[in-house]
Amino acid sequence: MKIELRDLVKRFEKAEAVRGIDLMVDDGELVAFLGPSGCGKTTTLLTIAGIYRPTGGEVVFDGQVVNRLAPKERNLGMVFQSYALYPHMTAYQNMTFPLRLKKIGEDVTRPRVERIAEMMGIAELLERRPGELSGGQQQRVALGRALIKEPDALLFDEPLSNLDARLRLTMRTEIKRLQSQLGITSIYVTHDQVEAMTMASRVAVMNEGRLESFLSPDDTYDRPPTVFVATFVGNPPMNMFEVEVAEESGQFVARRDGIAVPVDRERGAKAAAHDGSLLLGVRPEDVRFAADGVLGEVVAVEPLGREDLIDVETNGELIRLLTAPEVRPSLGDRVTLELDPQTLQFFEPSSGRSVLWN
Amino acid sequence: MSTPGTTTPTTESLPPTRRNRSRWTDSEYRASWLPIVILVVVSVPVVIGYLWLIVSTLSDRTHGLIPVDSEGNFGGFTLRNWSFLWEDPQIWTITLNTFLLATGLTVGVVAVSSMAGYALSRLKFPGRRSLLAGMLILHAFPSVTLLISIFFVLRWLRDVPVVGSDLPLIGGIGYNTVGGVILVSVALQLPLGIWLMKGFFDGVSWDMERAALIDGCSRYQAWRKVVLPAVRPGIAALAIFTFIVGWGSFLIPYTYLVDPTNNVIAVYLNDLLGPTSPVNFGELAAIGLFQLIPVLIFFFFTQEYLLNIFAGGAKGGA
Ligand SMILES: Nc1ncnc2c1ncn2[C@@H]1O[C@H](COP(=O)(O)OP(=O)(O)O)[C@@H](O)[C@H]1O
Ligand SMILES: [Mg+2]
Repeated sequence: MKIELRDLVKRFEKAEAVRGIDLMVDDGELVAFLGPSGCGKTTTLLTIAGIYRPTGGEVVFDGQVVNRLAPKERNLGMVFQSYALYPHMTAYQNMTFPLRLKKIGEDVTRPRVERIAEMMGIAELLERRPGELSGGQQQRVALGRALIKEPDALLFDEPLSNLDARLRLTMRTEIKRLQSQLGITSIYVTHDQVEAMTMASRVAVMNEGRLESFLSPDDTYDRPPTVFVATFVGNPPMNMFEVEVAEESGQFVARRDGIAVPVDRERGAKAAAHDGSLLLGVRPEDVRFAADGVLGEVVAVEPLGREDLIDVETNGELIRLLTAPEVRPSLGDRVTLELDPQTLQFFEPSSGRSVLWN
Repeated sequence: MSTPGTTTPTTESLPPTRRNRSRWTDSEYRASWLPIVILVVVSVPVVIGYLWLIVSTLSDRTHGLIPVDSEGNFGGFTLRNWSFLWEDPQIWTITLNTFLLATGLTVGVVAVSSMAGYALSRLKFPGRRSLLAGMLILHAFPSVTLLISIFFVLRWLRDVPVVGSDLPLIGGIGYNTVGGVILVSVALQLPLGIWLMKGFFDGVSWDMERAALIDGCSRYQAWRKVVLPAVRPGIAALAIFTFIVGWGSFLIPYTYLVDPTNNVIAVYLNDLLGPTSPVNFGELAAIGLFQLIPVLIFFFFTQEYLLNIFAGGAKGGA
């Protein structure tokens, strides 16, 4: 099923949670909604589910406006962060609940539950109540309950946030595998960028009720259309400082007092076409020590295992970079940095929009 | 450091978890003597009171806890105090009335509170806040002050055809009927019941209800099949509490049931204290005990179930 949002707005008495979202989820696609806490992800999802009625705009399923359909008329499955299992029912009763509401008989229900329970490795737990299951097992039952009625679309609201790190990893893979195997259109809400990037074919980055970008994970990372996307996606976040870009004897250079960074031709041309100062963004992994470049002083060294995170201060700006641990400098060392000219991002300071990707 | 050949202490050979557990139980045992002594000392007066109650219902007189006959010798066993059970046929009408009152009150309060409490907890409607505040005030309001106005309402209700005073069993819902007393008692008990149930409904997660709606429930079905079972411990607590209030209630039946032969146990008990004849404390105690029996039986049979649902409710968090 295709899900389309047209200028969706949802206002509560005191807050405007969703402020005009347009997007289209293709049939069988898994889309992630990514954004900080409170940006309206859950509200958007619940509006799609029919729990909230939109204040403005439209929710469209396969070309049909469904704004006024009750949740039960939408045939969706939803998985909540809190699992939201019914504590007075066993796992089996929880999973069959949607079917029992439709008065579907035990002869259809039982094989279906057994197949899904098998698929998710909870076959031996069916007679237990939620209180007797671990968090991971509860979430599997909840997923089973969402799948049992063979929904047209699956909605996930941070389903893994309550699980420990290791379990999160395996469940992530499992959900992704199930989803692509069954080919069910899915929307996956998360504030965890790794989850969003690894699972989704497209990531909708949200901020303060608006859609910041709706791109593939690679494009979200490499071609961020706004400062917000650039700094929110990526860990540690992108370095950002103000520069002026100009062409100097055939070479584009981004300058501010004491700093001069060469820029590649294509990007430089777009940036130089813009009057006034710009925000230069560069990811920590695209900065390295070099013989020649930006001078600075090491002010912090954080070993992360696979690599080190180094903070370098240059002319009042902090630049963070990731380096191989073999070249670990000491605090106070004078170093020279090179910023990879192929990866620099430029944003218009007042609007925060990229001058490269719009 | 044990030498080979000597017997090693058995605890050494146990797996660590079992050893730990037995040690833990040991210390627990020693620590629990003092509280028990304190509890015994504190509860002795209460136990003695109940003991006296039982002894005095079965004897002519008592010297302290010792039953004596009219000459003051040990003995004097008699069932005379219990004779109301077979000599006064009214007692059975009165018991039935008390039972009807307690049951009717429980059903009424639970039914209304579980719906009104849900509405107040979940729905947005104009006047919700003032309703909540008003409910607290109503609960704090002494019901004595309402007796006269309620009397007029009940007298008016009595003249309503059929339901006023011509219903089987409960008599009707007007003045001088058990139904009328139930109606008034329910009304007076509702603020507390609704407030309690609202609290229980507040504790049910929104997500669970949303899940039910998405799973295919209507709003009513979500309440009936998911939310209501989730607050079952609360409903049980409210039901028990209300039943006991109804079973022991005095003021409302005393005021609105004029006929002493068609009344409730608490009023019957009160009539024995009347100014006209000397009070027979043995009989008074017997009736008091008689009033207590159903409650005790009720507790005896439900305690296991109650403990279970309370434990289950705490565990089942989602
Ligand atoms: N039922 C509600 N009533 C009033 N305000 C709400 C309600 N639900 C969410 N909000 C507000 O809307 C904003 C977005 O919330 P939400 O969609 O839950 O964010 P997210 O899921 O991205 O963390 C928040 O400011 C929140 O306070
Ligand atoms: Mg949320």
